[in-house]
Amino acid sequence: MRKWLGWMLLATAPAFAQDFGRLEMIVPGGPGSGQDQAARAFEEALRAEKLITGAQIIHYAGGGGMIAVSQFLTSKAGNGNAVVTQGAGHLSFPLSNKTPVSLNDVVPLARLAGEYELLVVRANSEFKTIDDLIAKYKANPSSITWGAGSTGSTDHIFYALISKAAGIDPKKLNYIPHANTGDIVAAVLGGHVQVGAGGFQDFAPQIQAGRMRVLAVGSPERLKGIDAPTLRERGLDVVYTNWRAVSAHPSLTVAQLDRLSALFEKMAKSKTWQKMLVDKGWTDLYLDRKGYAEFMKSEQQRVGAILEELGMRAK
Amino acid sequence: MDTLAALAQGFAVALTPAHLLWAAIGVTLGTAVGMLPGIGPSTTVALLLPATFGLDPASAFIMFGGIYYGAQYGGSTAAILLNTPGEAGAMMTAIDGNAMARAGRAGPALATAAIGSFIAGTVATLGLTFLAPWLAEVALLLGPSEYATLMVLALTTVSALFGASVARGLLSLFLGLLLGTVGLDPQLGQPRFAFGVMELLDGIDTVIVAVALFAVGETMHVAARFRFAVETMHAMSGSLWMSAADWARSWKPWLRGTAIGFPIGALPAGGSEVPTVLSYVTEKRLSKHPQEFGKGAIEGVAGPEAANNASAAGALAPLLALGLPTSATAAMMLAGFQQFGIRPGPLLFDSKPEFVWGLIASLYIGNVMLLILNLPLIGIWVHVLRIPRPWLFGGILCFSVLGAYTLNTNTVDVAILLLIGLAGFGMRMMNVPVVPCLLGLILGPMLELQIRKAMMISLGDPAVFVTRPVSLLFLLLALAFLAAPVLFRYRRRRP
Repeated sequence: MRKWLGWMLLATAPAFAQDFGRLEMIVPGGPGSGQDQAARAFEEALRAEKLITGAQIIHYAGGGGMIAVSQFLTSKAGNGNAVVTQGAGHLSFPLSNKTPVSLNDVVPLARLAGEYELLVVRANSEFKTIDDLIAKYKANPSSITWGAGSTGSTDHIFYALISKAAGIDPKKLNYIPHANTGDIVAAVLGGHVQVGAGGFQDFAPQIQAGRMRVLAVGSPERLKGIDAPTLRERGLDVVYTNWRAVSAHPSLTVAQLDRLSALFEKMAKSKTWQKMLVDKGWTDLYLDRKGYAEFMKSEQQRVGAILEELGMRAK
Repeated sequence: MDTLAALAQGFAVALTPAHLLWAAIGVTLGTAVGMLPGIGPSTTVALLLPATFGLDPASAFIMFGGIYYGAQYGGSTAAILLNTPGEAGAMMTAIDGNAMARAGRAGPALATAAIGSFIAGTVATLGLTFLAPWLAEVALLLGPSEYATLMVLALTTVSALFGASVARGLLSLFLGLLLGTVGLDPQLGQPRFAFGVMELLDGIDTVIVAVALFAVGETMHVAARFRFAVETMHAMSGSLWMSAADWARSWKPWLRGTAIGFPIGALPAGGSEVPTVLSYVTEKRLSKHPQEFGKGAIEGVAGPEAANNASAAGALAPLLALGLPTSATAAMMLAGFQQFGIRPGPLLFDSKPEFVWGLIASLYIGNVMLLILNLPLIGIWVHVLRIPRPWLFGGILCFSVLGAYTLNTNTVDVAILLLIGLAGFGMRMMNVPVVPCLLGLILGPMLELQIRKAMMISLGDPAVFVTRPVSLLFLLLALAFLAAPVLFRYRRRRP
């Protein structure tokens, strides 16, 4: 039965591409940003699978991604071929800054991919294991400098969750913000900060060259190819990913939403996409419309609570 | 000698006809996009990246290298001819370059920029060839406290650009510092002076302010003042080519600019702004005729142009040696590396030597191509200035607005451009220099971020700025810079 269905899908695939036509993707980030790279990956997979004839990617950088959301809301009403992409940072930004729009204003379609956050130190760091780090942090919280992206970023939230799990007030984090990944890597390698956080891809070349060490990963199970324990294993109940997802316009009909979510479901389950995930070092985090909506709700609560503890929750 | 053998191998890769063709396409494209404000090399590389998927990685990166270097040349052309610096590194060039152009010396200005860029690019690429891994390691040792004091040094030197009135200069500088505080607080993440406008959360883009103050302000000024004046041709008087005196005044700034630009460009937070500013004020301080600066001193074009190109080459050192992107374009190239399954990092020189050395060799070739491309073009470019003034300035305004819009595709940027342009017009009418304002905007946020980082890392102990040797060195240099004119005056007075 399943095989048969597969054949049917295959037969209808080219027709689907004609059927769907062009996809429009509004991207909250400039050309070359993480969001842009994700959107280009979606386009590549969708085209290779002949699900669309092509895609137009429109960039709106800035405002914590909310400029893109507001442009999407004003210009794409009723457009069943348009989506806006988003990630973990766009969920948290409106919680720590008062913005006129948030992800609650768009309709979740699918969560697609992501990278688990991990902790790194430079090779000659005094911290050999995550336990060393936490022990020192507990003894003297301000003595550890935690370097990562901007304030309120996914890295910051990751640190706050770890701090809380270790039983220390997240406000005690001596958090050193950086403008971009290159700066973070340089600061960790140069010993200007003691700990770094981010996705594996950010640090992979340094780890392979033996210049950095992964202390722990924020995934539910150990990750293939990374020689480090999970935080859970070490008694810190923290799982955190920098995920990528797509949403649709709230004005769409149920039929239009079904059509869009079917498109991304087909993509997520395709061979092309699964191979791309491996090539890019991303984890498959597919959740359908319902799953993603539920995840959004619970994640907003979790992140909102931790921002509250950091004293960063917008009133 | 390993390096030389590897480089020879690299030339063998880069000198194939197909790769030469890609280099030529790259430098031409780069020159073109460098001229347009708003479309920088990083955007171009980003847009071209998907199109290069079918190519072999060497071809793609030889082209990207060409775009990267070419954009520096194009940026200076626009700055000199149209007073619209297309990217941050070309801002200092616009000051004296455009003054030269308006005095009928566009030819020598463009020539000293092109030749200076060539020399700086080549010398810095040599530096990249032999020093990249070492330089990248040294750069890692510098942290926030060093960056903070480097910004202090750069800010001190801004005083050299105040012109006749210190009060007006300070007014301009503080206006820039004020504009620099707009956006999210870097440490606390809370908005400052954003007034609920989302587009202001990321701060005000320096390129927009540069174009507003230089091009838009100037356009309004010309429109207001010369409405009834008879149109004067300022296209060309004198030679198209550099005179012997021009050469004599250019060669030292080229070399000094290179020496300043390359190491600072290699710093992870170096950028192109600080070296070009430092080069400009160094030339002004060392010049025998500092009064000419701002009115068309060729040193003011030669030095910053060389510094700009050298810093662009310097920025490739941490990218190739460690996989650290230190500029927007370098970040794009990193994304490009990943597209081809190449992971730049400490192992790149060992794992993909033919690729790295091919890229470095093509940078040498690209530089030669750019010189060959740009020198004959000077004869054509100067004709731009023959365009009747209303049309020319109309065109400049049009380009400026277009550029401001395409930068982030938002109209708020256009409004900022026009508002600050209006301020620039007012500053011109009241003889307030515009350059200190721009530098305040650029240096202020960097200084704030680095000081706060340094203080957080030291747990609030300000002694880091004097106990770390490089920090102390920068502070002493800043002090020397402030004290030197006073001391000289004192010595001169004594018989």
